[in-house]
Amino acid sequence: MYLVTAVIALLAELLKITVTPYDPLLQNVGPSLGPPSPAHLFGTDFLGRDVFSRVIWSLPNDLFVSFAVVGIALVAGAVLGSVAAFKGGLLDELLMRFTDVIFSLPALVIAMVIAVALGPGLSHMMVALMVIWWPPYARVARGEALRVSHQNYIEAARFAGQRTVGIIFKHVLPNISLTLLIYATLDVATVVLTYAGLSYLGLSVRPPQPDLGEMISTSQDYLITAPWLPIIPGLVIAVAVVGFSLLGDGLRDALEAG
Amino acid sequence: MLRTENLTKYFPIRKGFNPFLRREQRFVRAVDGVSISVQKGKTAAIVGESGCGKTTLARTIGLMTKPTGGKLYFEEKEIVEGKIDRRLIYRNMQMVYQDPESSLDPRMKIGRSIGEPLYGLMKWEKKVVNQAVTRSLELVGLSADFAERLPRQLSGGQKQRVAIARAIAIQPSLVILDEPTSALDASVQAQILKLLLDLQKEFNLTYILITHNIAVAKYMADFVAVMYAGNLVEYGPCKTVISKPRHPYTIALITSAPVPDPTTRNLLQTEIKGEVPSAIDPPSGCKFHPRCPFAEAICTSTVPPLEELSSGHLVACHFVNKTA
Amino acid sequence: MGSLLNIQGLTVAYDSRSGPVTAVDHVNLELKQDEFLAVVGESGCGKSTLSLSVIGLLPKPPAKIVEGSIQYKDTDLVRLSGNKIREYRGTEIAMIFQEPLTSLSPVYRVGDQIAEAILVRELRKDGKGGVESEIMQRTYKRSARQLRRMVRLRHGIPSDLREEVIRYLRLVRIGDPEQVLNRYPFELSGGMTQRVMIAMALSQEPALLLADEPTTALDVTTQAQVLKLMKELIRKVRTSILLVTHDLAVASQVADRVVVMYAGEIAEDADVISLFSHPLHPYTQGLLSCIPSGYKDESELKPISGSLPDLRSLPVGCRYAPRCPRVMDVCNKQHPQLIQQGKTQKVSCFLYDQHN
Repeated sequence: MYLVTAVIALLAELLKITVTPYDPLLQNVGPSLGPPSPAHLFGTDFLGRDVFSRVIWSLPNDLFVSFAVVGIALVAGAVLGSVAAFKGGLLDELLMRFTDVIFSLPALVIAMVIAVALGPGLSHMMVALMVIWWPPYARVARGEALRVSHQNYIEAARFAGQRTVGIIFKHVLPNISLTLLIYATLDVATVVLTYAGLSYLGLSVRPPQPDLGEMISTSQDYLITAPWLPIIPGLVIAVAVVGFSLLGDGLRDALEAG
Repeated sequence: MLRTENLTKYFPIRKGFNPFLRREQRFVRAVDGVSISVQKGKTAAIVGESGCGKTTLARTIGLMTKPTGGKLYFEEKEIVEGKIDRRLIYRNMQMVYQDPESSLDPRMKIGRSIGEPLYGLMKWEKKVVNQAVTRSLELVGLSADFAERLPRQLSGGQKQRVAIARAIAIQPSLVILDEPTSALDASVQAQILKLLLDLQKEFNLTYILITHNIAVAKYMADFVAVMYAGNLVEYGPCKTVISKPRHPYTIALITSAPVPDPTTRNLLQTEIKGEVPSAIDPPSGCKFHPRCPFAEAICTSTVPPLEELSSGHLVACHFVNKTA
Repeated sequence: MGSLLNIQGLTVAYDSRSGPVTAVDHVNLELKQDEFLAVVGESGCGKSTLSLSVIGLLPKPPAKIVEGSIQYKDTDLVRLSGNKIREYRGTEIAMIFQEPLTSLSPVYRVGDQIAEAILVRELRKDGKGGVESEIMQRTYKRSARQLRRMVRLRHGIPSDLREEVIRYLRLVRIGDPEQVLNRYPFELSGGMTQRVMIAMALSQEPALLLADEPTTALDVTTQAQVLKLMKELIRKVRTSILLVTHDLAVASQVADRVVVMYAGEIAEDADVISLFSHPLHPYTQGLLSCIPSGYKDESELKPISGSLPDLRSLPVGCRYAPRCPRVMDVCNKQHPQLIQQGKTQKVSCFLYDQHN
């Protein structure tokens, strides 16, 4: 059930990338601060830009950032965690303590620092998030890899002539991927929210590029007069977050029952 | 075929990793100086209860752990640490594990699991490997279409057959069997044991069989080695050791094994007191002395050496004459 | 010797994704006073389900007792509600399991756990926990409730109670009971913890002891000790035992009577001597010839062909027919019933059914 709704939400969002009635950057396509109407589904902002188009335009960025960050975190964390668990000993300690250090840094603060240092911009923001996002994956991966590495088939692989690297990639990683994927899907929602917060602070795209967080931040003064301006982007973010959360839940339920 | 000389494996007990603290090392003496030899085409059973070191011995022979001391010879060549060519050795030595559930990668198709040693050790190409896999499956009594299935679709007995198929696919000379049937039902156990014997006859395989079950050892083995707390206490031809055991522990072990005959309830007559000793702080001298009905002073101070009683029958006991 | 436990037509089913699966199918079984009965079978035959249902420990969803009765003395245990069954559990009927470590609480000392078991027994005797009996008052000088609280809070076991705990530990042949009662379960070996479990079960002075594979996880020498112990206990404390095991050899060494189960049904029910000297059911015969007994190159092991049936798709007719070396036409069409064959043997097989 949840799976279905979330998938629909996801697909709908992706489809919209192609459906943009108006050029989101053009100003004065409609009245300034016009309320939602048949011509402008989400209304227009203070510069007369169509909000609907802007929202649609900003979605792919959002999704791209979320998936990219989680994807990198997943891969980096998985490899790190598996190697640590499998080799054990000094390497394990070093890698895990390194993970702990990164983990203990306040994520948002560091992201802001990096973003400020590199300058605002989408790619810089993404880099900042990637740097700090992977520790939980490393932890989970290590736990799972420890469990897997004690299974007999790992030793059997050695009898088959496999060396450590081969074993990690052919046997360990495939068997821990399930747990990690479930965690990742749930995590996407968190990234969406975090990114929205950071872009609200102005650390991501520069105007006039549309971005959900940025849209909220520039329109918050109009909360009383043109409420659709800050509220609608906020709602869209909320829907995205809930959608991914439900997707993750559904995925987990489906896979655990199977 | 295979020979060990005074093989020892100690596991140090360490809490965490701290290179700066010098701690007095305590060891788990899992294998404490074991010397056995296995002839080609024969089965040597290593029998003992939990904690006796038989699994550690098997893993050391299989080169999965480094021995702490002693020597290991495979096909008359000494295996020296640091100069082990696993690729070469594993072409002739393979292993079958106790737990069928964890022997196979749950995400790999059966065919790929069986073919893994062929890819890894022989570097054959796909077509040749597939032929070998099919042949292997047939040898263990499974149809060729099993190659496309996943482990979770198979029963325990079938999984164990697959594990055997994987071990023999490369046509090794030695197969180490670690309790291959302990996790299986009685009827399945019989099928697997019979399969193993048939395969041995057909390919002149050498088996090292680890088991706690005397009946299985009796049925499968040519030679039996009895281990207790890391030491070899008795060794000899299967019939001799099992019908005329001379070490007090062997006697206890054999009389404790339940035999399906209600008219001879020897199980109820034996009384072996005590428990298996700690591997960290074993008793001094002969490790069995706290539980031995024949123990005397010398048993607490001196470790009895393995002595040959009759041809090929060795016992490590000071008072072997009492058990005749 | 009266009948202690009489199971009639017991049928237990589990809910599964593919519909209800019958684990125990119309089973009739009787256990007499002072009898040692072994229920033997391979995995999936229903033996564990059977023992769990006697003591009411079946996980109620997904399991369900579809029909049948379990007569214990004068009461039908099936008809009892959860609360009522609890009164029997641990008092009249005790159970020990395969894994002793998971059956004992790891955070309490072994002595405390036995002490608590004794106190619970006393509380039950005193009319369900309210009134203390005079004996309790006199011996322990405190109410059972108070004592129990003391034990739980680890203030130590009061000395009189301690004596009784030691008495039970000695009963199960634990040397050094004074030491052992201060230990935690994880500090003890498998054999010891299993004996502690038996001590706990016995402290309830049960009339019936259910043992579900109690020695499977133990070494062979320890198994021998525990089995010998169980046998002695029947004599000493007049407890009847129902032992569930997959090991026919174990059954042959300790049981008075053996019941062989296959795919949820009873295949054969006989006194131990008859079962091993002339087994009637082809499955029993097959199982016996499966046990390795002779030496290499001297004996033939005759495994049973085929594999255990899938309980979700059972054949019409006799469930063993697909694997039976002596199968006849009727076996595939009709279902055999358990019939008496001789004074002490019952078998469910058309080879012995005169009516066909």
